[in-house]
Amino acid sequence: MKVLRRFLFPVQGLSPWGFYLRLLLIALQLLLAYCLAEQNNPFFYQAF
Amino acid sequence: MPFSRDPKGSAFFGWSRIAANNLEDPAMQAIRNLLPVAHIVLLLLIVMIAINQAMLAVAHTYPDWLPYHMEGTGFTEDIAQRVAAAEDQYPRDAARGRYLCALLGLSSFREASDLQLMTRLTDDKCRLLGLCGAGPSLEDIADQSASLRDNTLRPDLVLIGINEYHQAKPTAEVAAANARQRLTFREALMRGDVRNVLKPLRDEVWFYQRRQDVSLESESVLLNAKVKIVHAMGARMENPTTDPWREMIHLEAPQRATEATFREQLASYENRKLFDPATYDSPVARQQLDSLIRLIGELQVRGARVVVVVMPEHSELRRRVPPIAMDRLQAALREGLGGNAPPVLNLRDALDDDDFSDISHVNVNGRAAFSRLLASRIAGFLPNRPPLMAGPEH
Repeated sequence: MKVLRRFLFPVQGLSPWGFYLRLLLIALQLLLAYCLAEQNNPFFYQAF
Repeated sequence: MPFSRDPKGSAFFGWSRIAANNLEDPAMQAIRNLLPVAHIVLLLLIVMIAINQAMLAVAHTYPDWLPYHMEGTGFTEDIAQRVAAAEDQYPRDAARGRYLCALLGLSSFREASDLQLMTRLTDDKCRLLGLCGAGPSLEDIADQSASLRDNTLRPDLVLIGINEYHQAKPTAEVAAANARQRLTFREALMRGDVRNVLKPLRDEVWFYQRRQDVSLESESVLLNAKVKIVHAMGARMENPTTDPWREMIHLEAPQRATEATFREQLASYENRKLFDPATYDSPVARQQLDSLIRLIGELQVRGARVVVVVMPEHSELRRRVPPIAMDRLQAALREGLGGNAPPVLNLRDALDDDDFSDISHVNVNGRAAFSRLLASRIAGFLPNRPPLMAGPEH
């Protein structure tokens, strides 16, 4: 259990929520970069 | 963000201990320094996979929560919009004596056409309306361009770009054979086939699944806004997203596909029996040719001059498709249309293999070369009379 906890929350001085919020932000930024680079907007499509 | 420097305190305790015991080794020390970064990257990957799985789960449970994902039929809608917009805009061009030239076909013609370049090279004598879609057979051309025939638009010249093997139509057995030939993820993994391991993984990425294949909405929103601002300021500007004369949709294809892609494409064509002479004597081929003849007849009745363009092909494809395919196509046009049989512009060997992205689609260089070639022939097919829609009744 302790090992798993160390694996999941490896950064000292940062709450688990804070850590995962930052990870989530980085992940979203990476996905946004992918969409912009591919000129791909996954949420909207043309409507003639 | 301070990471745990104590090797025993790190989640990678096993590796860290090894690294700690070999501190004198610079390589091990470098690995030890990278471990916290690798740890965070691994967690980041897990978060991204979780986001992906959540999006897939939502899409599976509520398939309509996002707007319609255009695929295949998107081309029909795209073509219908182009035709409707041209109906509105072309009469002004006709009054100025510019002919209307429509391009009908499938992906081979669509990918090979640079409308802007062709317009320039034909000295702006024509308005080129790109109405090519996608599909494996001749009947797809007629189906997808139905809006042109249901419209008051009367093109002076219609170029129908086909490949002679479009007479074949894939059956359910062909689809099954292609599916059987596909390696499973496990088989690909066992064989160390990186390409076929990554492909199914890529297809499971929600953001990849939602990629756009026929339009760019985010771009069109910005362009629409720009056009509105310019109009509000009293200036005139064509909207590039609804302009009927805009380029046809070019799918992203590499300049040159890999050998593996070539092999897979040839195998898929083989499964479709495109290289089997019997295919071109089958009732299905006859049916497909009938659909082409009907389409040509309907266009001719509306006053259009029709030209059939046989699209350039990679030398390997030319070598494999039996000559009977071309013979049957030409014979069907002669027999079906008699004296009205359209000229056939055979450009099968007009391009070098370097001009192809894959076995049947040209790359960027090939597009420019083909467009120049076709533009040089268009002038010869234009009628010696004013445009059909130049009269007062229009």
